Amino acid sequence: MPLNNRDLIGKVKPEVKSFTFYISPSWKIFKKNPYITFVSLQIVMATLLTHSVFADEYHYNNMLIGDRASGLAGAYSAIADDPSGLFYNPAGIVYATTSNISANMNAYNVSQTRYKDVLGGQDWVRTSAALVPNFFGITQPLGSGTLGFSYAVTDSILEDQDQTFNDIPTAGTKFTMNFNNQTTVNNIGPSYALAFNDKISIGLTLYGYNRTEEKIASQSFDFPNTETNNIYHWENVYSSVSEYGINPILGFMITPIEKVSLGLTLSKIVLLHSSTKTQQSCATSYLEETSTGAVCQPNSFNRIELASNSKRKYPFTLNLGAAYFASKTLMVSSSVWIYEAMNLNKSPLVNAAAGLEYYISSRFAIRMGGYTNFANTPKLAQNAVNEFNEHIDIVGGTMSLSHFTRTSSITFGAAGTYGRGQAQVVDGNTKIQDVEYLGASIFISASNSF
Amino acid sequence: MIQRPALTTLVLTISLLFSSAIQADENFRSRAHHENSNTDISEDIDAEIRFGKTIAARILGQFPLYENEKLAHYINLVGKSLALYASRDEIDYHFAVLDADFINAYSAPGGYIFVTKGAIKAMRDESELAAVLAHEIAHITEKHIVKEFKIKGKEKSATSGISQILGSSQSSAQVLFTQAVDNAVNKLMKEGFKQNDEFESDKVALTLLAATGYDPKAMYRYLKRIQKLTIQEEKKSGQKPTHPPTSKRLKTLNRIAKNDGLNKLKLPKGKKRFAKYAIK
Repeated sequence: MPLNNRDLIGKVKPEVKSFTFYISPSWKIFKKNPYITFVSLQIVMATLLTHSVFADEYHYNNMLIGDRASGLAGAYSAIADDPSGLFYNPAGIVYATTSNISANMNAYNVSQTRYKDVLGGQDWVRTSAALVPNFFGITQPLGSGTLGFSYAVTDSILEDQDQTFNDIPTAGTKFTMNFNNQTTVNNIGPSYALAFNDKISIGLTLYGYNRTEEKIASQSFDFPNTETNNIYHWENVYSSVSEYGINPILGFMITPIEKVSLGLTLSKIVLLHSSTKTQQSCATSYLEETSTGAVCQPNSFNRIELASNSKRKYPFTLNLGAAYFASKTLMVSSSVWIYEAMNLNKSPLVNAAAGLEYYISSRFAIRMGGYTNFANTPKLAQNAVNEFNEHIDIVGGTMSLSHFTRTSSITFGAAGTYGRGQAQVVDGNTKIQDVEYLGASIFISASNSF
Repeated sequence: MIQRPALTTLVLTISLLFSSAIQADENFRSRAHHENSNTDISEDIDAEIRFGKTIAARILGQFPLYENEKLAHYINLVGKSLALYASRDEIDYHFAVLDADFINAYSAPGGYIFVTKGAIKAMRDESELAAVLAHEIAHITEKHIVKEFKIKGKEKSATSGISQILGSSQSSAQVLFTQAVDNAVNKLMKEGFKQNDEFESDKVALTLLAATGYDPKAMYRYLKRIQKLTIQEEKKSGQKPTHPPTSKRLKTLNRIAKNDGLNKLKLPKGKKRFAKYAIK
C-alpha cells in the first residue's frame, strides 16, 4: 500500500527510504484505466496523512511562552525580567524587581490548515486543538546572582480527526480516513544569571529537551461499482518519535544608554538520543500495478516494522532584541531570530517580532504585538514531483490585558495567526496545492512574587 | 582587518559597557504596577509579624531564655517605654534576655528583641540598657530585615486569590518563606546587618533615647566599654563581627550627637533602678 511517511523520510532517510512506495501510477495509466483513479486516491490520502501540517517541524516559532512575552508577541529578549525570561533570555532575570517569582501559563490553541483542491475539487482540512499548560517558572536570588528553574512547552499538537470525501467525481465513491497526532516538545531545566555591572548581565539556561510524537493514520476505501467488483483497501500506520537532548540558551543583556536595553541569545538543540519506530499494516484486494517488494500485497494481510536511532540536527539560533522604555507606562520592543540552514530541506531563516506595552493605570496594562513564523523549508519548485516539504509563511498578532495586585498578576490574552503557502500532497505528479492556515489561541497566566 | 579608528571605538565601547563608573539609571525598567507595592497595607504587618515570630522561635531554639522573671519584666518596661516614642505604633514589642554569656542583641521583624545575659552584665545603668534596646527597636522601625527580604503581605483580592490558585503558588510560597527565615536568621546571628543599617539604627536610637528621657550619651559609653570585650570574644570564638567597627560607630555617634545638639542634654542615667536588676 502506498503510504509514504514524509516525517520519517526527513529524519531517518537511509533506514526508511526502502518502504516509501511500491505503487507509483503514472498519469498515463491513470487516464486509460479507471481503477488507477482508486490507486491515485490512495496515494493522495496516504500522502496527506503523513504530512506534518500543523506549524511544527516546518516552523520554529510555534508557541509563545509566558504572559508578558506572549502579549508582546515574543519580542522579549531585551526585557526578560520575569520567569519567562529564563526561556527568552536568561540574562534578563537579574533585573527582576522582586526576589522570588513564580509564573505559570495555560493556553488553548486551535488551528486549521486547508489544502485546496486536493481530491475531486474538494479541499482537505486538518484541525488541531489542545489545552496546554505551557510554562512554569520560578526565580530567586542565590549568591551574587539569580537562580531559576522553568518548564516550557514550545510546541504541542493534538489532531484527532476523521474526514470522508464523498462523491469523488472521477471515482464515484468515497474515502474515509482517521488520523490522530500527538506531538509535544518539552524543555525543562535550571538557569543562572549574573550581573557584571549595571550595564551587562549574562545568563545560561540549560534545558533538558524532549520531543515526543505519536501518529496513527488509518484509511479505508471501498469501490463497489467497477468491473472487478469489491475492490477494497484498508491500511493503518503507526509512527512514534522520541528525542532527548539538551537545549542550552546563553544570553546577554546590555544597557548601552538609559531607557534602552539590548538582548542577545545563542541556542542550539543537541540530541543525545533519538528513537523512531514505524508499524505499517495493510490489506487490499487491488490487483494491478503492484510493484515488486511492496508492503501491501494483494489479497493478503501485510505488516512491516521499522526502527531507527538516527539523530537529526537542529539549527543554531541567534536572537537579537531591543527594547525602549519610554516611561513607566509605555515600552516598545522588538526581536529578530536568525536560524542557520540545516540541509537541503531546511533553509536559513529570519523571524521577527515587535510588541508594545501600555499601562492604563498601575493596576492594568495592555500589550499587543505582531510576529512572523515563516516556513523553514524552501519554496516548492514548479514542475517537480515528490517534494517532501510544504511551505507556509505565517504571521500572527497578539493582545493581552493584565491586572496587577501588589504581589500578583493575572493576564488574559489572545493570539491569531494566518498563513498562506503551497504544498504538494499528490505523489508522482507536479500538481501543487495552495494552502491556507488559520490559528488562534487564548491564554491565561498568573504570576506571584514572595 | 579592523582599522585603527574602528578598533579604538570598539575598545572604548566595550570599556564603557564594562565600566561601572558611569552607571545608567536602572530604574527605567521599573513598570507602573511596581508602584502598587510601595504602599503598606495591613497584610504587610501580618506578614512581618509572622516572619519575625518564626525568626524569634529559631533564635530561642539556639539560646534559651534567661530565667529571671524580675529582669524580664524590667527590660520589658524599659523597652515598651522606648517603643511609645518609636515611629511604628502598630508593632507590639516583646523583649527578652537570652541565657548567653557573649555580648550581643538581636531584633526580629514584628517587634521581637533579645539581649544576651553577657550584654546586660556589661551595662552600668538603665540608660545603657535603653540604648541597646533603642538600637534594636530602630532596626524594626526602619524595616531593615523587611526591606532586605522583601517581606510583603498578600493583598486579599479576587485577582490575588485566583493567581495563587492558577500559579499553584502556595507550596512555593511556603518553601520560599522557610528559605527567607533561614537567611534572615543567618544574617542576624552571623553576618549582621548592612553597615548603613547599623549606622541608621544608631542615629534613630540616639533620638529615641533623648525623646524617652534617657541620657543619649549612654550609647557612646556602652560601646566604648565593650569595644575591647567584643574584639576578645570574636577572637576567641572565631566569629566574624556582626556590627561595624566600634571605633567607626563611636565617631559617627559623636558627630550625630553634636549635629543634633544631643551631647548637651543632661538626662537621667537610671543607675539606682538598674542596680536592683543588674546581673552580677
